Amino acid sequence: MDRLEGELSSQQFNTWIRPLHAIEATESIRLLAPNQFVLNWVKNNHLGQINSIINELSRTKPPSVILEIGSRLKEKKSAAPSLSESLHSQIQNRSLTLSDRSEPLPCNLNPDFTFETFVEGKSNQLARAASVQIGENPGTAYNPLFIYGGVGLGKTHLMHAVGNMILLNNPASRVVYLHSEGFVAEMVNALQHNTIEKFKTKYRSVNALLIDDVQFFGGKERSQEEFFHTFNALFESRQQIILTSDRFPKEVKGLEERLKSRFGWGLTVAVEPPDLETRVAILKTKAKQLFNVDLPNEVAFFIGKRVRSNIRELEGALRRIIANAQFTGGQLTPEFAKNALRDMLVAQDKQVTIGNIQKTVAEYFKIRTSDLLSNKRSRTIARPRQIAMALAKELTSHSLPEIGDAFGGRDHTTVLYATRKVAELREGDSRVEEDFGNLFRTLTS
Amino acid sequence: MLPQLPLGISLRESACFDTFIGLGNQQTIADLKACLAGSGERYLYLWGPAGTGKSHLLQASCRAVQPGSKRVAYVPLSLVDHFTPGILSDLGELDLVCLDDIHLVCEAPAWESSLFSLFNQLWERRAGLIVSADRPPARLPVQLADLASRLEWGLSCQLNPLDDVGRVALLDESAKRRGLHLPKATARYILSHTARDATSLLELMERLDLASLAAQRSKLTIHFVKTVLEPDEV
Repeated sequence: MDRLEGELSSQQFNTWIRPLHAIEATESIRLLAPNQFVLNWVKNNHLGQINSIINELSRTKPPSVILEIGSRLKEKKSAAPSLSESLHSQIQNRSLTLSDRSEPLPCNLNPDFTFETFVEGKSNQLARAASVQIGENPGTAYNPLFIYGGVGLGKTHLMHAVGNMILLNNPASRVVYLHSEGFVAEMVNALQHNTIEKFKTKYRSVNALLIDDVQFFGGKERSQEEFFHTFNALFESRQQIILTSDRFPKEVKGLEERLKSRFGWGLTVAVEPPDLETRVAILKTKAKQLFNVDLPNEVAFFIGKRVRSNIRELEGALRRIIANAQFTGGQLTPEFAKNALRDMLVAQDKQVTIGNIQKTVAEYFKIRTSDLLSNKRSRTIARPRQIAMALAKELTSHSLPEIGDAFGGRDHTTVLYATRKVAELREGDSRVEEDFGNLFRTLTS
Repeated sequence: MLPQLPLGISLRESACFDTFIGLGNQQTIADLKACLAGSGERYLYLWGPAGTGKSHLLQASCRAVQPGSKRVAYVPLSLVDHFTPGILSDLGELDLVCLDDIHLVCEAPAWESSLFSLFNQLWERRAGLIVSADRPPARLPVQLADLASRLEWGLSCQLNPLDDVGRVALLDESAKRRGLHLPKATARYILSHTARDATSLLELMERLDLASLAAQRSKLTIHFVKTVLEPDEV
């Protein structure tokens, strides 16, 4: 496990390897995947790696690896529902639809957030694929779906897209979207007005419950308690649950263990910041969708290269440019875009200084800033130093001699070597790539 | 229903679009009007240094809403010492919320999380939100990343300070409203002898107004302005 954790990025590891349960026998290791999706992915992408590690580690004849669907904890329960279970859920469904017709639920889905308007890229294709599957088979494919990632990367969009698809396929479905804070506020309100039973019935009787940003449940014990029961009721009656958060379920702060573990029962997928090509595609799609404007490629590339942190910021930049163009009647050119975004770009340039980079890198690697400037050459210091230099070259307009000076009076050739080395490592070592990406985003957002 | 205003905050009588000197900021005014008419963006972020008219425009936006047609609120966060973040909690039900000087509540976790909730409530309901700050969204020291990215989402409009032509227009408008006659030469004199930011100029007009009442005259001559600016020298 440790070996794999070292070889894969933490996101890959969390998504695919961590949910596996291993059962060792004398001649084989059975790896139990929580569902078909994970199984297929591990089989196609990581099985070779797992086999070779096992081969290296075992002194005698290596055991064979068998991948199947299941769980060590719930092994008795088969993946397919038993007859009584499915009957039970059917009956429950019927009684729900009968008894709750009287009170229509606000559905809160944004009709603009569909799969058609979602731009797919490397950074989100898994999350999208899983979401489509759930939209087609709500309650049965993966439950819950847990989408996590940084702010403004499309989690909410995906969640709404699933909801809209469920509704499209079955207009009678009761799909409810709300922000976790909305859930908390409504519960507090219900407690105050003595309507908690109504509140409970309302959320336990939906066909799909979409809760955004579950990290805001952190520290709110009463809400977690209520949500726990809602979750169980929906899960047992095979109604779809979709959750989003800024981080992996186990890492959400202030959540009770029993909730964290339930959040990981289904499929957990990450959305990552979009790469340049995806950002360009997003800009063009949004321009068309929001303003009916065909954004020229060179303008989309101009914005995409400069606005890197998240999609909301991209959208903000796009709004500014289109508003200027509509007001002045100007042509959409990179020069025009540069002018319109002057303040935004200046604001970004101002933020990133070498000192800032050193401080951020030192904090990230848990070393001292003074270490970065020292003569120490141990790898735990030298590697962060090289990454910091590479970031300084990429994010500031300082010359290489200036950067060298700022790192304890080093020669400019040292800076040059560091940037080349980091570029090389990012190609070959997914951990360096991930560290670099995280730091880059921290510094530019 | 009448426009709803929290606490006893009242809109400045003169703060409407007609009295705003829009030179250099026509586009922002167009964006605001489109937002209010429902044909533009639902969320606007106005920013610029002090004295560029942020409060004026936010109050004008509230005033421009037909009484009875929409529920609106203007909240100046400069009075943050008198409020708790709870003041934002009921605003999510309104049709238009104008938050002035949001930079003053950044880095305070309780305020940031209240702002975040308010933003989500208004966004989900497709209600209007206009905020102002002294710097662009990317430079606000917001700690809650979820809030920071949302603030960057909308159309951000930079307000430019007035140039001298605009300043003369501002003095002129203020004089007319007070029933004073301000000759061009006097306006030029003022601009070359006092602080020229809009806030200082309007404060001076207030002083001139009171002084002219006392002196029972309506024409602002250079000599009269001198007596107000430097009473000891004249």
